[in-house]
Amino acid sequence: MRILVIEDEAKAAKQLKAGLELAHFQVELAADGTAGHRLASSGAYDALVVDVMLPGLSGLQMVEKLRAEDIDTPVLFLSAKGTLEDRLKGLKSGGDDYIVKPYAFPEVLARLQAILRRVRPGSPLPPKVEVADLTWEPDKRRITRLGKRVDLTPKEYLLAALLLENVGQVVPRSTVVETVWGLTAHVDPNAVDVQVRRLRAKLDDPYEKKLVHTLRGVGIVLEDRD
Amino acid sequence: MTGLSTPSLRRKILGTLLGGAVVLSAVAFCIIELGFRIALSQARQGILQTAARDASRLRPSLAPGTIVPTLGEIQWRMLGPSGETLAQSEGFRSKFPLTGWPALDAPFEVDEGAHWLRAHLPLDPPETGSIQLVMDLQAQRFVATRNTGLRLFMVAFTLLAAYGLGELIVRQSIRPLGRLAIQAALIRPKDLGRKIPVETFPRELGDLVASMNIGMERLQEAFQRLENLGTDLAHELRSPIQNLRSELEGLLLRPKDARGLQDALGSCLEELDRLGMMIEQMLFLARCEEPSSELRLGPLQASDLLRGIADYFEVSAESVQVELGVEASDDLAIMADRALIQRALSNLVSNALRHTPAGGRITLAATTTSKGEVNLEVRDTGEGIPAEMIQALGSRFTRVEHSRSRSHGGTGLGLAIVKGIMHLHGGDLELESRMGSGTTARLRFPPDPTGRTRRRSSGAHPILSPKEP
Repeated sequence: MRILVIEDEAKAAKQLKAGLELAHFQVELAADGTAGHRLASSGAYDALVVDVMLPGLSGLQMVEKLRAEDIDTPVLFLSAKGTLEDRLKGLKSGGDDYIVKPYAFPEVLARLQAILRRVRPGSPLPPKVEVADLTWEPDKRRITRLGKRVDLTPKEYLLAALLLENVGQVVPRSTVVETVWGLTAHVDPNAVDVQVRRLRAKLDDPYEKKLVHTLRGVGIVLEDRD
Repeated sequence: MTGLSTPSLRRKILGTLLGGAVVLSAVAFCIIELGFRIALSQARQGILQTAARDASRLRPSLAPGTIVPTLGEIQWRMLGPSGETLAQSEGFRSKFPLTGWPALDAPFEVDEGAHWLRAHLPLDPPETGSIQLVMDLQAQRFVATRNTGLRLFMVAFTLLAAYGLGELIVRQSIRPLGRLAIQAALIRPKDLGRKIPVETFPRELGDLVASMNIGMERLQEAFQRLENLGTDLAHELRSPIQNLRSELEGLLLRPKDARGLQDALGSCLEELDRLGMMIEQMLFLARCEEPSSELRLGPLQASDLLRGIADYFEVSAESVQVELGVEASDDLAIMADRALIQRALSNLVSNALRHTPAGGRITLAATTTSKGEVNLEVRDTGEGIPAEMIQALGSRFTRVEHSRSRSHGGTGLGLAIVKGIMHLHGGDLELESRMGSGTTARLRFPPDPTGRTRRRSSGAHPILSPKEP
């Protein structure tokens, strides 16, 4: 999938490109609003990641212009301005989501994927996900390891499912808070760690291969590490 | 003291004083003038009556047609019972014909132009005839004129005296204002604590001075808070930066394996998150100063809200062997911003968990007061907060230092944020604590005048929820 990142700060642009490429996106860069608009008006991208404050055309103006030209490529805004008003402005101009700097990259990735899923709802969960000796059957709400069912509490299951939906990708703790408990991301995230420890005790501890990993300062990931 | 748009106080007072003096003088002048005129005319009438009486005595000795001398400025003519002229002063006939005199029952008359005062009076006894008298007012004019001049002079003198006295009074009474101006000009941010001495000013100004002192005291407090906040913020920023620095130095100086490297970098990220969170929280607190900003109010069911939070902290509580319970009936509701109240409650429960030893209990409860206010409470059976700390706890960067408190990555802004959130909702945060037996943190909401809170809550918070670094 092709993503256009429009960000004037070279360092940030480079990091985003590297991160997105690691997640198997094709990434192109534009350093100002005018260049970004020229590229994006082709409609050739699956999503745009746009900094709000850009030289030339601002991010908001650029997206407004694109929408006026009937280009409806989904847009994820990045901005240092984080008041509700700023967020609303971003969404009103035609943005699909809004992330405030400083952001954690996994969050950018998660939100980008959420946007893409929203635009193409045609990718339902596979009937079966397999990671090493773990098998997840979403329809049956069943997780097994080495063919043996792992008994989880409802919250533990929700957490495991979230990690399994994003196998190999780091899930930020704020996403866990929002998805598993439906709370605002501003609650103390320490409780997430406790829940993760619980999950790990049931899902990982009895088995030799460890699948749930905590990346300090970043989030949680479920993957088969060799 | 002088301004272009507003006249000076001195000029105002003096103007009022002089205006008053002019009006009073004019009134006094009129009254005196009127009195004088009445007195004068009565005196003249008296003179004419005396003259008539005197003339009555001459009656028997007068032969008809006698020419008599004038009585000073009074010319006269005596008439017999049938109206025939008995006697008259020189030239009277040529000036005053017999007809056209006032009747006997309204005997006095002043002509147009006030040249003459005429009188037609009965003789004594009346059946012997009547007497006509004429007083030449022109000849008397100088008396009145001289008096008018004197009176005008007195009025002018009064005015001048009023001006002088006014000037003196105004100067005297304005002088403390000048002193106050000097004192006020001496106020500096550094010595806001210095009070202007109230007792050296007159009582009326004393009130003003006292108000100024109170205002300055508040300013000083705010100033102090701001100063402390700046210092505290700098200190608080210092420790994550120090940790970052040490971690990165360690990376450079000591070779590490991949795992160690990952750990060190993770630790750096955590410190950065702490910095980011502090910035977010400081900005959030700044926004809380302005009520009405960014509130997305909706009716929320209290029990729902509390259960959601309890649900989230359940495993954390379990892991430190603290019981976590909810006490709330389903019919209590509040008008509030869901995301903000979740944040407030989460801060309170985090605090409670940190300060409640194993075996303790934390209760989330919703209660009502007799006035209809709904309170959300977080009660713990922890160590409690020393009374002298409670007041300070809502301020930024205040922490209770306990031997038992577990180390944590908090920013010291948690309670300040709770307070800010309650401020936005028009409510407040109340802390009650007894050492050794526990603490109750109470979120107090004002009663909802619309009664809308009776409905069930709905709707998540799509925009205000994202991100915690």
